[in-house]
Amino acid sequence: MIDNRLWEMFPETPERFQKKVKQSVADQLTIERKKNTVRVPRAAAVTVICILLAGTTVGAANISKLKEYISNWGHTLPEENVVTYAGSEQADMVQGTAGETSADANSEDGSTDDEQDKMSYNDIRGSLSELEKKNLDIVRNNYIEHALMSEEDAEKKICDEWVAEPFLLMDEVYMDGSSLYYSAHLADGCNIKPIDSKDHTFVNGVDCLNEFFEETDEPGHYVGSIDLTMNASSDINFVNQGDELAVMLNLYVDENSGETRLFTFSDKNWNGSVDTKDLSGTVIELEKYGSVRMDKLLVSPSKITVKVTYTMSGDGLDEMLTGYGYSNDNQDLITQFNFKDSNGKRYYMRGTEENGYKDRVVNASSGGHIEKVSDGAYRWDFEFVIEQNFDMNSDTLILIPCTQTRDADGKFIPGTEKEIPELSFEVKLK
Amino acid sequence: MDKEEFAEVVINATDSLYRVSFAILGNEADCEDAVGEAIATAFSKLYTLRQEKYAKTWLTKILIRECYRTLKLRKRTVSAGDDMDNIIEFSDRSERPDYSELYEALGKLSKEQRTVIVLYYLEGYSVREVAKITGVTQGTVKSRLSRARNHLKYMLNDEEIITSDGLEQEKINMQGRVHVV
Repeated sequence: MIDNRLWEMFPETPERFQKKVKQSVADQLTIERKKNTVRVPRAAAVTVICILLAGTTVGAANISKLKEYISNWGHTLPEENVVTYAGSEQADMVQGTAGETSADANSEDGSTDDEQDKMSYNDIRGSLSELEKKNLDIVRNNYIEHALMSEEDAEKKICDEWVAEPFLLMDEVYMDGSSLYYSAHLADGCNIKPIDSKDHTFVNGVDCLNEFFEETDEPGHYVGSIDLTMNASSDINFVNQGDELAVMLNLYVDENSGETRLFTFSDKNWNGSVDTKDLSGTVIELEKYGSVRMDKLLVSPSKITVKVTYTMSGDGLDEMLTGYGYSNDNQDLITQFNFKDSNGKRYYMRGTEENGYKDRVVNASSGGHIEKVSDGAYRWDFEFVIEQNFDMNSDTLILIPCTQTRDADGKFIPGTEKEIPELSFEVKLK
Repeated sequence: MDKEEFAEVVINATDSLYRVSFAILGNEADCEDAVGEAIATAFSKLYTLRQEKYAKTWLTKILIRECYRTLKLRKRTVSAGDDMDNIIEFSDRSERPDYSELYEALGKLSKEQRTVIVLYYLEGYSVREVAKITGVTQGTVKSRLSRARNHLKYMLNDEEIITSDGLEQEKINMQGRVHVV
């Protein structure tokens, strides 16, 4: 993992730097103040990590807000791919707690709540499914690597704060190769109120990126989304139909103290389908100036993930680029794309000013310089994700590079966008 | 927050300030200059810090701006054609026998990518916090992270960092769940 190796290879803070910091601080403090010693740092607010198994019996599951919220985000998901859960189904899914509540489990073995809380880390892991164990292990490793805890302390922290009680119950889950959307509600009698989710979210033993978690307009009901393409391994092939789906969220429950709770969900027989087309590797010849390779083109109902690499050459290319303002001091010539779908409808990557940019189709994009590789030959790459306000049923995608002037602070000046049709191309999405 | 309390925050953040500045500048002398300037700026603007719990994040943001300023200044003093913003060679290599490929590859990322990689993976900030620190949107942070990981992968050809997205390996085999075209 990147973070493991970064920690291992990064140099220690030199003594000179430490002295510089201390001296700089001392310089800033006034001479008249009373003498201060540097206090031992206050203990960080306790992060209470509890692993709470879903699966207590609850009343009939309410219809969630998942579909409504997703449509508000500009997405339309195929209904047949949304998996819906009811209370009894959830109880059956969770390993070892079929039809039982934590209270029932306590009464069976005679242990008290206090004794339950003192389970060892291995006992906790033993109560989880295989993929939930993998998720939990990543949580532990993150404490070790990011919070600099020893392995023993990280496990002890989890054990000390382990609570087995009803928490969130899933209502609906949708997952394709790019995104996982879910809705959930608080279990009856639960007095924990999630506020937000930490970024690190775990799906089948893979550290993914939480995008969104919020309470709906119905108290106690939540919706969220997880970006599966931003995981550290960038492998979307980690959930197969018929296998287990295990999701672990780290949820904030107190914005002042930063207390969190771990929410784990497992479906032993995941029956949701995935509809992701992998069209990576497609090469499109430009009309005059070389070709474009789709280094990545993943087409899901929720997103279109794209990375393009232009390899440009041809008579008149230098003059064409210079005509649009390319120079050694302006190598970031191409700033965005405009798009068209197969019906000819036009879209703007970042949206339009007159619509308050609510019509944007791309939230994340990144591109480098146009690199001159030799006389008359250039290379440029760009990547982005189309995830809203675009007709995902379109058969094709037309990409039209654009250039836009920036001000002295580097911000784009509205109204200065100019398309570069010489470099536009069309790619099939089906 | 008073100056004494902020002084404690700064001292406690020493290691973090070093890691962030060194990742951007790659030169200890420049790091010392940048952190000195950043501390002075932070104290002078302490009255603008609204929430004490964000003091370290705020200080990191000031430091990053100072580092970028240093890079700009450095760029003006080198010959045309050099791109010191994008590539740094970590100095004092001979003093670091544990110098690694990943370390060198990190220096070849753009300063923006180095910054997000260090803030997210090394310092453990969230995407939201990284966005606040660097002054860009969360979408841009995610994109830079993704791009940086891919660049590291290409430079290192390292499957441990990220599974290769070479053509052969990206043919998804999901047993009928994904339509491979």
